[in-house]
Amino acid sequence: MSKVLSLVVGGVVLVVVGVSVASVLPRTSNQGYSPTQPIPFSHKLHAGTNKVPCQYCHSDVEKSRHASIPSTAVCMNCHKLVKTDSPLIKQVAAAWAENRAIEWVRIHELPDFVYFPHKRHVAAGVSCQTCHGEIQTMDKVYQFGALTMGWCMECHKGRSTPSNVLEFMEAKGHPNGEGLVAPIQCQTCHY
Amino acid sequence: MSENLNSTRPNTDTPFQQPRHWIGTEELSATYWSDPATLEKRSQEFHDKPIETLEMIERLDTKGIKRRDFLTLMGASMAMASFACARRPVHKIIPYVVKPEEVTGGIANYYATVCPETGYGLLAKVREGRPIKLEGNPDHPMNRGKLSARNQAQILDLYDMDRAKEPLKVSRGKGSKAAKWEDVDAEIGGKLKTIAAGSGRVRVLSGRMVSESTKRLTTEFLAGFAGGAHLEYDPISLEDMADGQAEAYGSAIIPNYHFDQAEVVLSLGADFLGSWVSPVEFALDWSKMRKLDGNKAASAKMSKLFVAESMMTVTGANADSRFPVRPGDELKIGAAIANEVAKKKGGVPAALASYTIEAVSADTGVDAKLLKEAAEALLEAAGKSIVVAGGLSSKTATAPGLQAIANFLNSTLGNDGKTVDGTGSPFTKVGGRYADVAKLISEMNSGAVDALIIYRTNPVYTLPASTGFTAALTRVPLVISISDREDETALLSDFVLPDHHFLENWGDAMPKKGVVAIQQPALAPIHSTRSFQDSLIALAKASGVKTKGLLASASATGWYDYLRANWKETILKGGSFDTAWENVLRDGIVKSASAGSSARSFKTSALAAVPAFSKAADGLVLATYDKVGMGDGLRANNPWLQELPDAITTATWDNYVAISPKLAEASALKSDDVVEISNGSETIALPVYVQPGLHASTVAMAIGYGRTAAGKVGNEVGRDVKGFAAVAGTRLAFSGASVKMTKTGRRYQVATTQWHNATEDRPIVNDITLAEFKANPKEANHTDPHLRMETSSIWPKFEYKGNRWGMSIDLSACTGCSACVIACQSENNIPVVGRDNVRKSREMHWIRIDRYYSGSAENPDVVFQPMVCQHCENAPCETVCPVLATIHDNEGMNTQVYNRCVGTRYCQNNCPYKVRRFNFFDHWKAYEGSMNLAWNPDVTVRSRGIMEKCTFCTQRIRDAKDKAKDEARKVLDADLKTACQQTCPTDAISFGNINNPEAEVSKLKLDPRAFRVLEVLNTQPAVSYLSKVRNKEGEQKHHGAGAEAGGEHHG
Repeated sequence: MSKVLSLVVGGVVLVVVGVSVASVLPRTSNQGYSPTQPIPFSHKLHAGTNKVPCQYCHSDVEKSRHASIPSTAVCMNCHKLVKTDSPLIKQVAAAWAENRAIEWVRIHELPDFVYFPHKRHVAAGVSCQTCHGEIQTMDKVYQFGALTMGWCMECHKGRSTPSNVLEFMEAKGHPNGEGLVAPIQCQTCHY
Repeated sequence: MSENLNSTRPNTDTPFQQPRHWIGTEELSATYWSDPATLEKRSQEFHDKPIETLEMIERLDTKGIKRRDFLTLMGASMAMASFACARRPVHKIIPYVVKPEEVTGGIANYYATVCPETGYGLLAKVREGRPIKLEGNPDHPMNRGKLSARNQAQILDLYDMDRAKEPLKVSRGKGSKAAKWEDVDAEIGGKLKTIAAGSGRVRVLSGRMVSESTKRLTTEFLAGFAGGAHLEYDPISLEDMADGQAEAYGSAIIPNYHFDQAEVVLSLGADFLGSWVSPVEFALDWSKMRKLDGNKAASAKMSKLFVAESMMTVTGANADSRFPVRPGDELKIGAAIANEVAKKKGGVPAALASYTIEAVSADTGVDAKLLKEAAEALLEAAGKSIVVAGGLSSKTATAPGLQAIANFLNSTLGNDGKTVDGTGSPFTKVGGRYADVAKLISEMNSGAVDALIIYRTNPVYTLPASTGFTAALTRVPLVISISDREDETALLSDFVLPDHHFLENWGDAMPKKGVVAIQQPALAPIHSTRSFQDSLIALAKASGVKTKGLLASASATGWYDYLRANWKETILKGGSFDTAWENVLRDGIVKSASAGSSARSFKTSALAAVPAFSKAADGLVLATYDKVGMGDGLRANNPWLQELPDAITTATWDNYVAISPKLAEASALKSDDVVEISNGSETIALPVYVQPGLHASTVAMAIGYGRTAAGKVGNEVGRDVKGFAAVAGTRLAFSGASVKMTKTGRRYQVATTQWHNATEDRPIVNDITLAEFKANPKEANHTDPHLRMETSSIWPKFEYKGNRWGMSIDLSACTGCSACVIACQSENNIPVVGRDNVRKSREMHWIRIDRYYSGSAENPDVVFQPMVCQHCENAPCETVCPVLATIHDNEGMNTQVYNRCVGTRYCQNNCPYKVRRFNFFDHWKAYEGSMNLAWNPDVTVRSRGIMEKCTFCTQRIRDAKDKAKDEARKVLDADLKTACQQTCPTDAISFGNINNPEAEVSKLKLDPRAFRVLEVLNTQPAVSYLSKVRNKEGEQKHHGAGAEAGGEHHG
């Protein structure tokens, strides 16, 4: 009887400990993260309804590792004229007038030891939506992809690769061989 | 294989035979090798306890966390980690308000600028508005893309936390308080106005000024004061050379030396490969005459270098024939050689008659045969040789005579006008003279100076107390210091007007005739600083004095406008100024054809400076010298330079008393014994360093240490030795003082890296003579016959389909200048660990320069071996990593994956080359505030518990691939250079794709001279070395020769 009791108690303790440990363990993915931004910028309105091309604002995505967050001046390119009386646009205009940067909350974030080049992915035909989801439908952006290493590898190994990217890499003659779409050397991303 | 085969350790069964290559003199004694304690020490990877129990002077870097605190912290941080990481911290993205047109996030811009001290052209690599690395400007005719260690380290000075950040009102050594620019301007302006109305005796004391525009501005500013004058003073002054030139040829310049045309070079104390005049330029030229092609060995030619010097410098270490002498005896050696040369060239001048080779040989102990050989070599290469003389350690009371002899030799040999160019493009900015400073001091003392403006020179620190400068300073009613920090001089001033770092400022530099470069800022000023030039302009305005020239014209509202106006008037005359200006900004240099040079006539009267021959007195003679890294000490607050191991002594973080093994033995001293050095009036206590290759009467100490107001890093590191400099005639004699040395019985451990990373005594380096090389170039890779093993493998070889990266290092070209070490540190975010951690063998440099001696301790040969990760094909580190954190990639590189590493250090233990470095602490935490801006954002900053090592600059490979992919082509060797390769002044390092047979590195790997280190271990490194070749007759006795006999019984 006492044996059974101690087993049960032991089991309960193990579960409690397990759950509490699991709850405080570091999370490897921030998937679904959707923080509130200082100004509720809507990608749905801009990229969806009004069909502003992504690269109009994220202008470095083809040139650099970073896609770049647009400077306030880019907002003002349109909003000097468009919707100038909206209270939200007034906030942007005020920041611009005061030469004060808007502090956006970062959603997509890789650890410091990961070097991810937007440029190469765009050049291979990976669309924004592949990793960022249907961004043109998001009123409030959330993290669509897991952005974990396994998630990256699925695509690099050809398992979740979009077909146009597969075709593009095939046309290049699959430089990496072994059925890989893109390199999976550690040093490709970690250095 | 037996122990005997792969060890240089002497066989205990046979009579003691000294190792072929040795690291310290200890290894030359049989008892050393039979002492179990020393052998134990050699086998230790880390010295967790100091090597010996030594009294340590507790100083700033002992703030390292103590063990108990460490454990507490560990516990706390683990607990914190498990909670803190449950929710990721919220990070902000802060975009530009208006993004500058030229900025693309993640992509570097390069700006051409110039170093205002050396005049070398620079490219500042700027990421998102902050400079992160300096590289040489390939278009600059002097340094041609190369930089020295000191230049490389200048980037860290920009972010130095101890810079003066705003103007200060100082109360003459009794503290200071921050002030506003407009207030100090008004206050100083008022005072200057009164002075201008009176006798107007304003003095500007600056360091050597290579900027014409700044000179002009200073002159025009001083024109507003009736008694105004500008004088320059550099602690490492070139006055002896300039005066020598003036005496012999009429004009006070420093000739331009063409080492690339010199078949024979004689250096009398001048460390032209390390620190003398223009070392990067000279080393690059010199190395061109030292490169060998193993496939054309029979007809191989290389220049020959003779060096007479007191302290061993990198130039001496590269000599084919080196004469260790007492400080000052460089003159006797030079005179004896001149005497011999003159005999064959129309008669010996009376001044040299008493300096016969026999007399000098008997007095200095240098073999007469060697002196004759030098004279003959010079005669044979008449018109194609160079004699250089100078440097701090030869700057004794007889320095003018030494210069006269060098000039006499160059003229007699017909070098002047050919290899020695005194008329075409000589160095025209020679700095000031001590005589000017002496005059200033007497004027100050007599109250004849109303105001003193001190710009970027630190006389209170650099001038010996005996000159009375500090006392005289109190007599000057107004002292303004325009410095980058509150240094020793600034503390005793009335005002500190903080100066920009040169990367924040405009300017120009004309170090040589015909070489004109522009200095443009690479970032906006970080602090509330103002350039010297703008300060002069502002003070001229505030005081309302009547200045002259451009300064008086209305257009010169600031330094930038002034500079442009001056260029419009002088350098870019005619044509469209704006276009020309833009072009110069892009190129960094005004391109002009180099002027030809012609021979000058030598005035025999110059030889009057040569004293009559007299025998050396008994006793010890002091040599002071400047280190390749530390120089005059103005950059003492730079932790990279403090932790840079000296190429010769391997010491970091301190200066010391270098004495010869003979003197050490006679005085019963060992390295690290503290001695007192005294000349009667000045006494200093420093630890001893036993340095092979010194004359037994020489006691050598480095200047540039013992700062008291350099900043947190540089304060009280080492001891200040300038007190031994004495006024001799109109000059300061830094060396030649007669001193006494007294043992104190105390010990102090100098943090040397000498015994770190020992390779289990396996022979790892190879050198031969030119004669051997010509006879059989393959000889060069016979490090040890037993190491040349045919190996087989049970594993199939990996086939490299694309690129395969490899490196080749030419030991003949490597001078040991250590520029690569700092370049790598800057590129790869390598932390500084501090003195105590270096003592424990925890330094972090990814590339180190191993130094080996061979031959006798009195005058050894030296070979430098840069050691990087060898990227072994069969890497011993990879097989022992339990978490696959270090693995091979498909381009032949041994990669270290920081995020996988758990810090077992097995890999480090198993690396035969000892190139892996472990982060015992979060060293990055020592980088405070603005220091964090110096990190390279393309390289991970490693944290505690992580192993790291050379990556072949993988981030640069990635950039090159990116560029190649954009252009739909393969990566070419021209696309990338590793940081070490890029800066190497002698092009000793080649890097590229060894799968491409056309690549330079592939060709060098097939050179008969190529060898790979520890080949017997079958690690198959991707790095190969080219053996060091010395221009000597006869044989370099091989280690193999001894082992071969021993090998018989194994065979």
